[in-house]
This record gives sequence, structure tokens and C-alpha cells, in this order.
Amino acid sequence: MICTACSCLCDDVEIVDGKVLNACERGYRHISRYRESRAKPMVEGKEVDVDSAIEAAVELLKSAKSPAIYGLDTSTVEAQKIAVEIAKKLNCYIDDNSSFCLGEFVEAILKKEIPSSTLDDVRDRAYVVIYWGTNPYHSLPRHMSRYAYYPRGAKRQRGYDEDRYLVVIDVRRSEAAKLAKKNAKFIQVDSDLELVDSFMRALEGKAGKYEVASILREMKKADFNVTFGGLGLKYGLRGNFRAFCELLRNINKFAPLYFIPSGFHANMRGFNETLFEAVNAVNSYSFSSAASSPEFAFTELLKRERIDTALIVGTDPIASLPLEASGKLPKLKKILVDPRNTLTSKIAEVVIPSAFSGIESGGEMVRSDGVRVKLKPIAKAEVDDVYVLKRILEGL
Amino acid sequence: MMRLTRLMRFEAKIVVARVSEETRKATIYLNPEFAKRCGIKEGDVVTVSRAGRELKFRVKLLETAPENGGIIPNSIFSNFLADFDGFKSFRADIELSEGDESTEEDVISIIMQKK
Repeated sequence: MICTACSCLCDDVEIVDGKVLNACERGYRHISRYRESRAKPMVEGKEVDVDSAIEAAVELLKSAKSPAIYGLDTSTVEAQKIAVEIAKKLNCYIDDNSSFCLGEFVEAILKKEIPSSTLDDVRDRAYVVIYWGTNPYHSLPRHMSRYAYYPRGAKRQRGYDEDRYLVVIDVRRSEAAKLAKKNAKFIQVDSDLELVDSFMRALEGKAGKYEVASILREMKKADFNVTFGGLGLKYGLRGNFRAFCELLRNINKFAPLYFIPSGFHANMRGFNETLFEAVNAVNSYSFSSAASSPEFAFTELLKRERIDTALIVGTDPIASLPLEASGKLPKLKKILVDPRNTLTSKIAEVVIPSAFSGIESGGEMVRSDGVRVKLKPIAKAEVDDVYVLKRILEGL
Repeated sequence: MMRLTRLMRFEAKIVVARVSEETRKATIYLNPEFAKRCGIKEGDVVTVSRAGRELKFRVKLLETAPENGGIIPNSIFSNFLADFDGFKSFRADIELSEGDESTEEDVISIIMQKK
């Protein structure tokens, strides 16, 4: 089966005699506990049947003056496409977690502003492997062993301690940083922008705050190097995303360096690509304005109190958003579609139970590197995201 | 006997990160050296406060935590204290406390009161 616990979408997980094989700890928990703590259909705190919950959701959306659709990062591409149709029909906002996660990196890749590649190419060809602001040990536990560092690839046959050069950039000596020993470098960074500046200066032969010339020299030895950037990088740049893009472009004049976003929900990239195909934007889109803008991000809509109803699919905003945004959730009507009881289900006016994509429901997802993957579910649920969203669309 | 450090408040760097250990309790993973300097032991309950908000956390020790602070796993607890400028890392005050760690219900209750 395909594991949908994270954006690696590992395709070698097996269930044998009820045992989950090959999965990491995160994947094992995701798959082995999928029957636990399941959501029940609820309207205003009372348990109802699924049809009644869907009808209540339709009525709330019909009466909404300013609705938004939010989430969808663990839904299949098929479900995401229906959600886009609903947003179009309601002439409303649509957004996912990538607007405060790694969406701008994916957008730059889709617009071909920065060079990217696949994890398979990384395995076969990458020499310098940089983890910047991400700790795969916890967030993507099999990333290094399946793709990026440990495997012997087609052009990397001599093993990681000779044929890879590992660079870990983090604000602390993380578990991944502890691996940076032989043929490797750890940079404990106070300011990501000063590190960007150090790279830029090193390209001109000048010294900067951080010693990075040795990394550039290693890059020059190879025809394929890669940077995996995570949330630590995004927030470390403090809004200066363009400075990072310029750095990537300048390094590529010197030595080949690809970028792959690292560490997000199973199908966040799928949402970005689905919306991009529909409206040429990866998130934060308003059908009413026919435009994407940071002010249309779900978090900004909450902060500015611009919405009165939200259709939330497969995400838990009361737990995952800072108080400045989550504190506004009580003020709006919330329709939650989720397989599991979450903290948001405790405050939602309507809860519609769904299925776990990849476990009980098939379809397509997009890996963090853009490779499309067909899910191979081990069970079949009658009610999944596609069913619920299709019913809502029909009801509207 | 009351511990002297109960009267002291320490500034800490908090990193918000994923940890493999699954817990839905308010847990802070302090760097062992930092905890030692602050007179805090594993199992203690500390109050973490920032920008007029505070929660209580149970302390665990972790070598990979930042040298001058700790890690709070990405959760309703970290996000209650964070804002978008400090979504992955922020400075906060830590002091020894009494009683139990905060619960998810405590946080939801505070958020619902904002209505």
C-alpha cells in the first residue's frame, strides 16, 4: 500500500497478517490506528445520520454571506477538484495549510522560478544533500534512508560516507545534525538571512558570517546537488523568500543545485497543483475577486473577520493555527469533514465523518517532489471525501 | 522545603518542532544543561509565558533541544503561545510551577471565551 502519513508517500508498506511492515513510526501509527477515535456525524452537538449532517452543511453554505473552504491536504486530488468546484459555485475563498507552510516554494517550482527534481533523481545522482530548516528524523523518518542520503544510487555507488556530502542547517543540533560527521557539515544558524548573505558573498569570493565556501566547493564536484527546505527555512527567511530564490539561481550559475520542499501533509502539493491547474494560483484564492492574494489566506480571513462560514476538510485549525487566527474560529459557522475526532470537531456546528485517504479510500496524491502516486487502499469506506464533497456540490 | 528556583523566572528560546513521541499532553522538552542551570528537573511542571499568555507544561529532558531553552511539539499548546512571526521559534519566560500541566480542554476553553 501507499502510506499517507506524510508527503513521502512510501510505496513499499505492506500489511501481512495484520502487521504493518516497512513503515516508519509515524506511518505505523497512522495505519495501525486508523479505526480509533472516529468522527461521528453531528449537527449542533447532537449525533445524526450522515445524510442529515450533509444536508445541514449544504444549508449552512447556502445561507452563508462569505464562506471559505479550507484544508484538503490529506484528501485525494479527486476530492480537491470537487472542492474547487464548490468554491467556484459559491464564488468564495479556497485555501489550504500551504499558505502558512511551504506553498510559496511549490509555487516557485510550478512557475519554474527555481529548479527542482524528483526524489528518485536525488537517490541516483545527488552528491551535496542539504537539509535546511527541517529535521527529517522526526518529520519524514524514511526520507534519508529511502531517497536522499543512505541509499546507493545509480551514480552514487560508494555509500553515503564517501558518495554524499551532507549539510544540515538548523537553529539547534537536531537528530539530523548529529549525523553530520564525516564528509558533512552542520551549520547552527541564528539568522537564515545572514546565511543567505554568506552564500552570496562566498560566490563572489568574499567571507561572510558563516563559512560556506567549503560547501560550494563540494557542489562544484558534482552534476547534481539538492536542498530540502522546511518550515524552519520559511520562517527563518522572515518574508524574504525572493532572496532565497535569487540565491538558488546564483548558485546554479556556479554549480547545479535543485530544490525540493520538505515536510508537509501527504497531499499538500496535490492541492497546490490542483488549484494551479484551475486558476494559476497555489492557494489563498478568491473566486469572487478572481485572484490569489496573501489577504485571502484562511488565517488572514480569520484575523480580519472576513468570513462567516468555513467548510474545513481534513485539518484541525483550532490546534494548528496560532491564537491570533484560531481565536476567531468561535465566531464563524464551521462544517468539518474529517475521519477522526479532532479538537476542531468539538467546536464545529456540523461534523461529517469521512475516510482515511490511502487506507479506506483510493485516488491520486502528489508526492513532495511532484510525482503523482495512485493510492492502494486496504479497506473500502462508503463515505469518503469525494462522496461528501460531491453530495455538497449537488446540494448547492 | 520550597526550592529556591521556584521564585525565579528564566528566559528561554522555544523551538516548535515535531517529536516522534506521541503525546496529547502539554510537554516541554528542555535541554538538560539549560534545565540544570535553571534548577528544573524532569517531571517538574513549569509555567511558560509569552505575550500575556501562559500555559503549564510537564518537563522532559532532550539533548537535541536548543542549548538555551527547549522544544514544544507542534500542538494546540505551542500554537496558543506562538504567533505567525514566531511560529517556529520564539522567546518565552519559564518558571517552576505547581499542580498539573494544562490540558487541551483548558486551551479550548480560553479560545471559546474569546467569542
